[in-house]
Amino acid sequence: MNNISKILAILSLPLLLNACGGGGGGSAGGAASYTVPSCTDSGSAFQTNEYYTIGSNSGGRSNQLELVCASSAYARGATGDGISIAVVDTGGPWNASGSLINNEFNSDSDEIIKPDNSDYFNSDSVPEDTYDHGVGVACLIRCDKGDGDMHGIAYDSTLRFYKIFNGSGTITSDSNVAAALNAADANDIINNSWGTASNGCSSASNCESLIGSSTYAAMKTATNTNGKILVWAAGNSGYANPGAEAHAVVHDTNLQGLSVAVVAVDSTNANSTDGDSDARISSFSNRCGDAAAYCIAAPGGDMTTVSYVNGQTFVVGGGTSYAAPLVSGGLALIKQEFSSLTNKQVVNRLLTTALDDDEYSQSSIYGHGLMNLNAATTAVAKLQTINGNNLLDDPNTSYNDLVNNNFSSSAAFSNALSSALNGQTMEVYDSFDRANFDVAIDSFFTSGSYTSQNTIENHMARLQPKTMEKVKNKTLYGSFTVETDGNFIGSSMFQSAGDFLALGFNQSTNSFENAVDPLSNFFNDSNFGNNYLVNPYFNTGSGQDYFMSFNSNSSFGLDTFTNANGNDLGLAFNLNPLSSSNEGMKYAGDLQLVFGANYEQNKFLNSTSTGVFATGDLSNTNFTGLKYKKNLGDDFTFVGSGFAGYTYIDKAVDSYIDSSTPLLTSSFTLGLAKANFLKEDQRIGFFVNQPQRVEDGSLNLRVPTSSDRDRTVTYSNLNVDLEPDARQINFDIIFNKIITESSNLSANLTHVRNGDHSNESKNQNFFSLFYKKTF
Amino acid sequence: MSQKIKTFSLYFIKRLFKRILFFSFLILFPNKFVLANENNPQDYFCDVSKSRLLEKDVISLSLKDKKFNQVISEIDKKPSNKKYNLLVSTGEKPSSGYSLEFLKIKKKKKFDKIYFQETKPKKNSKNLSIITYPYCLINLKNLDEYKIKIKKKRLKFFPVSIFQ
Repeated sequence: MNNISKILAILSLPLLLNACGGGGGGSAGGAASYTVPSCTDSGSAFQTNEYYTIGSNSGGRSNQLELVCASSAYARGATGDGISIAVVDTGGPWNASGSLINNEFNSDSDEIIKPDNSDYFNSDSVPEDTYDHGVGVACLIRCDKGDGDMHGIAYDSTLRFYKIFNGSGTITSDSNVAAALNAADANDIINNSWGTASNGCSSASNCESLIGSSTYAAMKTATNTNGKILVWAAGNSGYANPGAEAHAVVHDTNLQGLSVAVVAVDSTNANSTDGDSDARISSFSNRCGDAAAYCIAAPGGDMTTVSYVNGQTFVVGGGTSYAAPLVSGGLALIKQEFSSLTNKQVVNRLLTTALDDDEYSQSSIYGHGLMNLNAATTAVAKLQTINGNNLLDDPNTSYNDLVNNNFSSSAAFSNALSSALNGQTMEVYDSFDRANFDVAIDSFFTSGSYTSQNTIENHMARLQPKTMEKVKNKTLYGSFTVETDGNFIGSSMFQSAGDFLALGFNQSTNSFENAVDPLSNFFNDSNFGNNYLVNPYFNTGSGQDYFMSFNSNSSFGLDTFTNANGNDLGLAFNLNPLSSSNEGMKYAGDLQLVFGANYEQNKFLNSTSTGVFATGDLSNTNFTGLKYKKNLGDDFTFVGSGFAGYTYIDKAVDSYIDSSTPLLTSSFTLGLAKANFLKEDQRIGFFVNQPQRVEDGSLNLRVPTSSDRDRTVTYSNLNVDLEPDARQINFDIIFNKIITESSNLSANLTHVRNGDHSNESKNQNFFSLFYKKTF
Repeated sequence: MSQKIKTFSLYFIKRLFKRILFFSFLILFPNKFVLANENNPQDYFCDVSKSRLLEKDVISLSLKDKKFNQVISEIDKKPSNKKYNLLVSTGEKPSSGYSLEFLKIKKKKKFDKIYFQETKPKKNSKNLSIITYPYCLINLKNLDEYKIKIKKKRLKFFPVSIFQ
């Protein structure tokens, strides 16, 4: 009895061990605490019936592409175009005489290739698929898109077929397989939906023994010598580790980085009741096991693909055979999308971006997780600009986060710049692996605008009477005097009778505007768009500017400015050959001639820029101007001003602004005012103004536009003509009536044509009425 | 005496030769020998499907089942000029290299037994990583009188299976 018990115990041992072995699969399916996450499949324009395999022949809906978010990659332009994939398998869609017999592969004969001598079983050049497997595998990669039914994951890639199995599913000799793999090295990616039915392999020598020495050597040649990507189906025995070919990467550094093992998850297929349809590991699939670092999951259970039979018969089936081609195709999409990545980096990106939350965090089952082509084709880390160097990995190459690169352009040329950059792209790079991304160049540019401040509120504010709280004859620095108007210097060298020195912070000393009395006390030339009469080359706009003006006997003067940190400097020399402010010169003309220069640090024409669009320390503008006022009798006053300048842009080191021609700019204002209009105490003024505009000049941008697998960057020149396509003209009519001593009525009609010097701008019209009564 | 011995020895040699001949025949033409002595069905067709034909844990489907005609119609590779009334499948197999063959029909007291042989690939052999469903289609008379038996064997280098 005791012996019988022992015998029973021994006999039952294999059963117990079997039970333990089966537990691996159970743990996956039974891990109730894990939820199954999904990626964001965002390319809605590509989510067609074909995407879901819905067709009259292919049957009901399958989510095999949706599970890996392939449409997101399509939306970014990745289709596999230009990438070649070897299908080392049972052959392709030809009959024995070499005629294509499957209409899912007839869209482009250049992309479905049977290389010479590619039938390694029969030693001929017609690798026809007599077992009906290679065609199904190939379809999952590249079934045609656009003919109904279904399409492959990389539907624009190029396939080459190498036949190593015969019609019975028997593989050819070790040496022939090796020869096929060596020939397949002509491709970027080599798909292998076959393998040894083993639970991994224990060492490199054991792997070699199981795989075959010639085949093993060919695998190493493919990866280590030729840098090609090998994709292996993990196998369908439910083992804890992939089969030997997929597992060898664990033991051999020659394979690492370029050999990928693929396990299968169940997709959902309306035409089948197979599998769990839960996107968890397929019950049949080998697990990633200790090859997790080189392993990824993809749909392989319950898949729709095309059959060799009758040309275009569709079948629903499963196996890691079908998961591997999805990964091969996914790699093709990544490789096409990022021309700067080496094959190792393509593989690394695929593995790194896999969905690895919750269920897929079980690395012994899923390795890196479920393939996620949305994440794989977007930035993994920060996108950065390159500093102008040609080598992505050179130690002297530096990168800038995107937010640190910008250009805020002056309205004097922003319209021209926007037009020139519209649709233009440049490359930026993912700090993760320097994968190249195209971005719109104009995304770095902010257009300055004269019309942005043209609001009805600001228009109304123009008519608010100035607060005149003049403090006259305030003595400063001995005999010099200054007049103030609130926080503004009310006096000007143009207007002052004597010598003066004005010092101020955040103040405007350019008071030619004040000289146009009686207009100035009923019209505030501020807030609304550009200022009409001020020197535009001193209008730095920082709000933190120091000014100094000096005037001597109304015959000449100096204006200077610097900003708070002293980086911008300006100097203008003013000649006043005529002045009506002198006694007895009431009807004489007022004339001011201005000559000057300014120097702007890291900007020009008040256009600021940083990073790769930075300008140098000293962009220089030399300018000249003329201001003229003449009282035409007692009632009429004519005013006019005009400025022109040449700007020389200083090139910064590493800036994409490579060169430029001098920028010629202009601006002008003409005005006529009449007192005693219709009735006494009525005044009217008419102004025509053109804000500062570039009349001639261009920039040459040198931007990175492509990069290659050898990690070099190619730059392209982009010449930008900065002259806008139109000319903004502002027309203003201002009316003022003093009703009583304590009440005042003003009106202003403004018409703005070609706002911001753009002929695409809508004309603007404003009308404001302002009544003020003091109680 | 010596004549008797000679006669006996010739007798045994003859008998031994007959036996050698018999076993050699068995070895070289096993199927033909068996089928020649059993109730051979009119038609059968065996192949491997890449799609599931029968539900899990079901090994056969006969003409009497409602689904039979639908399932049969989805099998593309079968000879179009033949008619079958029984489908037998091994169920899900992990790779290529598996097959199902019709062997013989043995008469029993209550039921005749239909024997199939499932062939497995060699251990550690290289195969296609696709789920397969080996199956046979047969046309039999008197479907109720049969029981199905599937034997398994693994491919060896020696071409004769243990089963035979």
